[in-house]
Amino acid sequence: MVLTPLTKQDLKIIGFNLSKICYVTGFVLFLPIIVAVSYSELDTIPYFLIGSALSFILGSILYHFLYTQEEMELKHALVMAALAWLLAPLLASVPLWLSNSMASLLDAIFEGISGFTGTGLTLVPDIDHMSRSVNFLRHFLQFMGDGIGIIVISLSILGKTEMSSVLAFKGEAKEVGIRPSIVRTSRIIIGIGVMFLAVGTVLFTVAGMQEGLSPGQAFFDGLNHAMTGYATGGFTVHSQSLLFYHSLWIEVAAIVTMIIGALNFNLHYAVLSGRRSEILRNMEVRILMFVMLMFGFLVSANLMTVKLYPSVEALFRKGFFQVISAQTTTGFQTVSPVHLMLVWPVFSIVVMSAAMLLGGSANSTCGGIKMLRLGVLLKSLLNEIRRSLLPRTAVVGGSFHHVEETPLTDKIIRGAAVISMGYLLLFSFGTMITVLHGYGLEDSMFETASALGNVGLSSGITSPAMPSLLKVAYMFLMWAGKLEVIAVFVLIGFILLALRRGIK
Amino acid sequence: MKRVAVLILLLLLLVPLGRAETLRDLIDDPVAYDGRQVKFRGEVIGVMVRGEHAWVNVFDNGLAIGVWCQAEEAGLISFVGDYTHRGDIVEVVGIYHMACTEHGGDTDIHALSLQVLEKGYQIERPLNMTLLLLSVAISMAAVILSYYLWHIRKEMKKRVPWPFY
Repeated sequence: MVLTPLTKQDLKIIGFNLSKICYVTGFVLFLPIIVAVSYSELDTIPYFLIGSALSFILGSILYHFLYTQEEMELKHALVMAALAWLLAPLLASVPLWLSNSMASLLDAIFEGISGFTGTGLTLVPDIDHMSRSVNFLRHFLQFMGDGIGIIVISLSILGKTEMSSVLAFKGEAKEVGIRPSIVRTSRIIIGIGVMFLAVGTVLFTVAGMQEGLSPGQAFFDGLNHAMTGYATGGFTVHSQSLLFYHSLWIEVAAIVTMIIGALNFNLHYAVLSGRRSEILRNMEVRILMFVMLMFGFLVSANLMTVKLYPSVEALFRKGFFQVISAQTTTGFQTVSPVHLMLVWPVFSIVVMSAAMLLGGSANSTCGGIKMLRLGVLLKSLLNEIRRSLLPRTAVVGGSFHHVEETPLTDKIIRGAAVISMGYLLLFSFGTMITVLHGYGLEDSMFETASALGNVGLSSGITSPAMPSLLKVAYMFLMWAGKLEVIAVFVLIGFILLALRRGIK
Repeated sequence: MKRVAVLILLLLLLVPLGRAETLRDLIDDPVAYDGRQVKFRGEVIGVMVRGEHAWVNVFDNGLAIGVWCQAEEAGLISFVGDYTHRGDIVEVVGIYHMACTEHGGDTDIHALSLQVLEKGYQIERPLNMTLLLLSVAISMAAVILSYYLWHIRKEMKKRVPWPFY
């Protein structure tokens, strides 16, 4: 196979589509001004104006000078998605940096990537004294970036061709198929997101008021936690994460939003369209629930064995809650990072790392390898065993139920295996680089799985004081994890091709 | 009498009442402090009243912990720290729990006493006029540039293609 050299038209197509990402980012950075005015934080308005204006300027320049009507191909879509997830956080880092909430520009970019990718690892040195508008921005980044998807938004609103949208969906690791029309599909995704945001906000607000928060604070905290819970992002408005509230009801609200966020958009649509039995029949949901319960019991049993927590309630609120938070790749914490590392047994930490790496459902807001791929690989393993036991002439086929009955083809198995392998390679790379910085093996595995799986649970390694090289490595892992690895390799290939054969 | 004296002596040996711990000490070495009486100071960043009791979240040097105290004591707090307020500085004497039996395994402190040492205050956050002017200038530049480029693009679309003979 001979690779065709890149043309200037390729760059134009990518740049032109990136202009739309700039516009959406400009809008995202403008919206916190409403919060700033509502809470009389007028001093923060210039930060958002500058960030938003720079995004619109860049968008306009790209739109005008790289204007093209040509359709995107798969390579353009993947490279565009890879660049979009770098460009948007870079623009979002402007107000974060200007607000003096971050220790350095690098930390602000880290926060931007963690926000847009829905990771939740944070380098904010003092969240408790952060302005409400800047804090809102952090949460809003997660909702727009990971909860709905900036590419979904940009193409559903600003995109004009069906083909471009279909391909860009692939780049953002969101598959299509809810409805035949891609614009309709993206509007459904946005509709589902907004609906669950409203449900989550009500749940958190009622729980917060019940637990002694003022209605205003309960609503502000509730809105932000609903955004990051549904987006399985994990940013919170307090440095103690959910431990701030000391409340079972807020933890229950969090579990509900996290699990909703961890389910496939197609499943949401099927259930909302009246096909309720899909929840029980769907292979991915079954595996997700089985793995989550298994990991939950394993961690709880381990914590019980070491007599760390005194009651069943405590085991549920600490052991099970943290497993759900890890498996759904959210990152809400009810245990302080230092406790996780110093007091929790190693076995529990390893199980949590596995949960973070495996993640939730495909085509959801989750990160990680995803349950659908795990299911496909397990089914193919069973098929291989069956094949070796049956006579040579026997035909071993198979299918799985995921919204509809899908045959288990070699192409599907290969896709699942390649992406899983990519994740494991990056996990090894991240763990090694963290260990090289002098951290312990299990801490390194935990933090790497958290960054790569876009989770946000921390063992305490992620802090403003961590080495800059490690910050850059985690930024890379969060970005690669969000793109499900493949787009990263395509971008690298694209750059190498341009270097070797030039741009015609 | 002798027994009481021995008991007091033992308590004094076991409980370092005079020294105030930092929150960093408590969080970094939870096993050593578990179940022990501790004393520390910090800024109030959250108050939630629950019946006759209240949770007061206390912040010290980047870390925070929940203190379970009487609602009456929490009622003495005037300012809760946030972006526009410096919270009251309190001194807490209480029992540190690494995993509290009463509160679902939370790490907390059950206060024996909570005292307000310094009252908080409002923090003025004046608008930075230079930054405001810069932001307005950049925003205007964004609007003008966007409109100008959009206009050019519109004119280019209107242009009749050059005829080929």
